[in-house]
Amino acid sequence: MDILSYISSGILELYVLDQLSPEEKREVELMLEKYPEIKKEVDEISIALEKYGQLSRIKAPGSVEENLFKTLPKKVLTDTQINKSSSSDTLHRNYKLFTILLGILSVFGFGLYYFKFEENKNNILQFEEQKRICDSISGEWQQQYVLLNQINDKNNKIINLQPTPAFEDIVVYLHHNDSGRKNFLQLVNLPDINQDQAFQLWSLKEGEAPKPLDVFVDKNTIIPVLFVDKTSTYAITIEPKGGSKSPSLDKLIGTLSII
Amino acid sequence: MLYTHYADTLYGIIFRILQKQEESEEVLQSVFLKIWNNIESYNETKATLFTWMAQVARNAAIDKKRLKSYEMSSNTSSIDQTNHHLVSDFVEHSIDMKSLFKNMPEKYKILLDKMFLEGYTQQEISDELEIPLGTVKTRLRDAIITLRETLKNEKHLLYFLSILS
Repeated sequence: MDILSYISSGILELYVLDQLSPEEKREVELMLEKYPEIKKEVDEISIALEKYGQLSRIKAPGSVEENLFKTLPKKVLTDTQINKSSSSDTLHRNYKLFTILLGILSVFGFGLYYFKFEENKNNILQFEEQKRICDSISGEWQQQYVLLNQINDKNNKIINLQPTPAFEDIVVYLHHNDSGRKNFLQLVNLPDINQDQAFQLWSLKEGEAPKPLDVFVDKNTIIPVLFVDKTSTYAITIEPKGGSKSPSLDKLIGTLSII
Repeated sequence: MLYTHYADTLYGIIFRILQKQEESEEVLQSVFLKIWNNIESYNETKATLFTWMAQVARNAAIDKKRLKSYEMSSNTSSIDQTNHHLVSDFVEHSIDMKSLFKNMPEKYKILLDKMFLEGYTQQEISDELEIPLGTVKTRLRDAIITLRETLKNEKHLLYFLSILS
């Protein structure tokens, strides 16, 4: 494209003077968009003609301006209405935005509330569980306390276990209360046993077969055990789990003599 | 602002075409309303604001002139002459502008007046001045080049004067 030839063709002057056919006009407008040099040329022609136009200017009668501004306020009013409408649109937009924000906040708030509610619910459940455990411990301690009181009863007689040679290090005490007809075994260090085994307490009386009493697996605690009248000796053996009807003498841990 | 800046020049163009004060005022008012209402359609990439406004003014004045009622009133009254006198009262010839273009050849001035101020087509000028159509085009370009050169010289002169002062 020879821009200089295009410029000197005279078409741009005719374009500024609006003397071109619609097709020619479109062509020039395309060139204007494409070539800044052509746009510059058109602007310079326009400015030159504007200056030339000023040569013939005539003072416009004041009545035109007055009439014009009488007419224009209607337009201004329309613009104001548009502005109002625009303000209303803005207000509407703001309201919409506010509603959306409120919605988001509500959802967030509800989510937070639900989360906190669930958290509190879990806390309550945990608290209840802890309370139950505490109550249970407290109950156990209460029992232990009662037990200790019973063990410390002044009428109690503390009897040491006489271990057999195979269990010579084993220590067990029998807290025997004849008047109250209560017995408590204080287990200190019973030996390890298999899972299919248990300890068993026996009541021995002269001229009678050993009488099976409590079966237990605890090794170092205090447990209440049965009191049997006229028992001369109690014995502890290791038996199959669930206990036996007669003691396994080869697994006799020791005896507790009352008399 | 727009009115203050351009009203006189546009009125000059309209009056050149219509040669009647009352109708020119009416057209000037309608032109500004048109400009006001269609300002969104103005595309600065296609034309300067003045060029666009001058086109609106020229076209409005030519449309008015073409009306039958306008032709009849022109035939039955001698208002043209009256207005011509009025024009001389209204015209605010800038001394600077006048002196600026005083050396421009008359053939160019006629051409620019006819085409730019009165909205003549090339063909109409060719017919009226009895010159070939091609010559009209060439002469128009020469006229505008001369115009631009003159303005350029004016700019240089103003610059020179500003340095001296």
